[in-house]
Amino acid sequence: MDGHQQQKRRMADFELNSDILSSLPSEIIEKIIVKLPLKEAIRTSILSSKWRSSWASIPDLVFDQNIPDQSKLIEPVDKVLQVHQGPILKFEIECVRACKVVFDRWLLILSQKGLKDLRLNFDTYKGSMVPSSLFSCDKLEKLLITSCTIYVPQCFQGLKLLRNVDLWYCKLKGITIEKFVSSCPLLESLILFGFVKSGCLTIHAPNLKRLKFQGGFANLSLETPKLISVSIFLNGGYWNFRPVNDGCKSNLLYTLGQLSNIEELMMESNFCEYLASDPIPEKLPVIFHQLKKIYIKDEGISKAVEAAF
Amino acid sequence: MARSSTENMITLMSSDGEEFMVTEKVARECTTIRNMLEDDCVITNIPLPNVTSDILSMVIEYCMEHVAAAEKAAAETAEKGSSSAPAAAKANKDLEEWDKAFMNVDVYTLCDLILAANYLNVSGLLDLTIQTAANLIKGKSPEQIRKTFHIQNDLSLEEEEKIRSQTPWAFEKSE
Repeated sequence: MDGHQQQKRRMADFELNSDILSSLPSEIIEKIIVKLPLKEAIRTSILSSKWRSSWASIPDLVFDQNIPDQSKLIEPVDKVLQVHQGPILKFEIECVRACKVVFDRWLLILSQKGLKDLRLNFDTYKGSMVPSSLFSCDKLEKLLITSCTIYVPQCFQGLKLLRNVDLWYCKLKGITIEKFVSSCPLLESLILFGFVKSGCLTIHAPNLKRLKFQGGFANLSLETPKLISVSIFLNGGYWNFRPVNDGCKSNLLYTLGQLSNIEELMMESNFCEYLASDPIPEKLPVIFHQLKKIYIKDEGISKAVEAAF
Repeated sequence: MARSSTENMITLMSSDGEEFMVTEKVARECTTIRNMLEDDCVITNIPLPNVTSDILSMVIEYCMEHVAAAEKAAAETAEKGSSSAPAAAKANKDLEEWDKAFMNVDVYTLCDLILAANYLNVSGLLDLTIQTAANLIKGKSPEQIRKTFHIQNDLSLEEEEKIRSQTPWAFEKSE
């Protein structure tokens, strides 16, 4: 097939000045605009009258401008939300320093626009706060928040459609992470980074398939029958795997014992040292019949050998 | 391929009356045609009044290439028992290169391909053409975009100013 020749023929067939792109159906124009960075998407509004409000119905709003004075992004977001028409399914913003009132305003609008995917990336933990109006976005399926305090209302009924939760260096105010997780019945993927819990962390999630945890806890109790992938990265000092009560089991053995259906296991910490806590286990409490991938990183492995002898 | 001789052939007819014989497997790459075949399995002749012969031949070329790539990957997996990651990565890269070369077309052909991919519901081709159109817009000034796609600006200066003032941030010079 000689595509090139055909192309040439086609070129001759057309009037060179016909505006074919603008004549594409609006849903196709929208698909093209959605692939552009938001700023460029909005700029298409001055191409011609046909393009004037094409951008305003795109369902994804991603403010990825990393500008030095982040407070300057507040007004643009307000304007865009004001001009936008139709549903907003995804809202993402990088490094914005905005007060609770501002987020409250945005989240109330977004909750009425059927938001499914929310990503709020604050730069570092400097007292940024996400107000409880977040939880009025009841269509949420994906939630990613970094470095802030999230206010959960006392009357929190759960987010019934939420499937993916990524919380990086966040604090919850109002309820515990346990209550939060157990109130989201469809939750499939949970990532908690930089999370510290002094006692036992209990995860009750009937549909959870993937759990990734970095931080510290004294013990982990999993009520997660569908769990197939686990990553645990423990910061030194937090992971307090000492023999519990009667001195016959380490907490780590208890945790491993809950993972009988696991397919992927990743662990990073002084793993062997904890495992070899007195008394040294002769075998693991379960057999991992489904295990396909295993990754263990242990910097203290020589210490563990010492502890074992 | 040995199998193709026993495979069902389908005739696709373009808007300008040209006929294209393709294997059912290639035709099924178009979800619209796949649905027709599933509704009526004895159908062998499908008129496509929305697609011209030159565009249809390109759509078929795309589908054939992608079917061949998928068959090759499946054959390799069957032969070796499992797919080897570097070989699969190379095959993917080759196909990407092919797609890239395939997209070396003028804007009219590109827009017609978008319409055909949308009508025939060839998701891979639709993604590819839409992304190509977006890439042609990306990084350009409004004037450059108008020139690339022959867009006539029918907005008055006042109207343009009004649009800019609605979201001034988007029109600021990039930092």
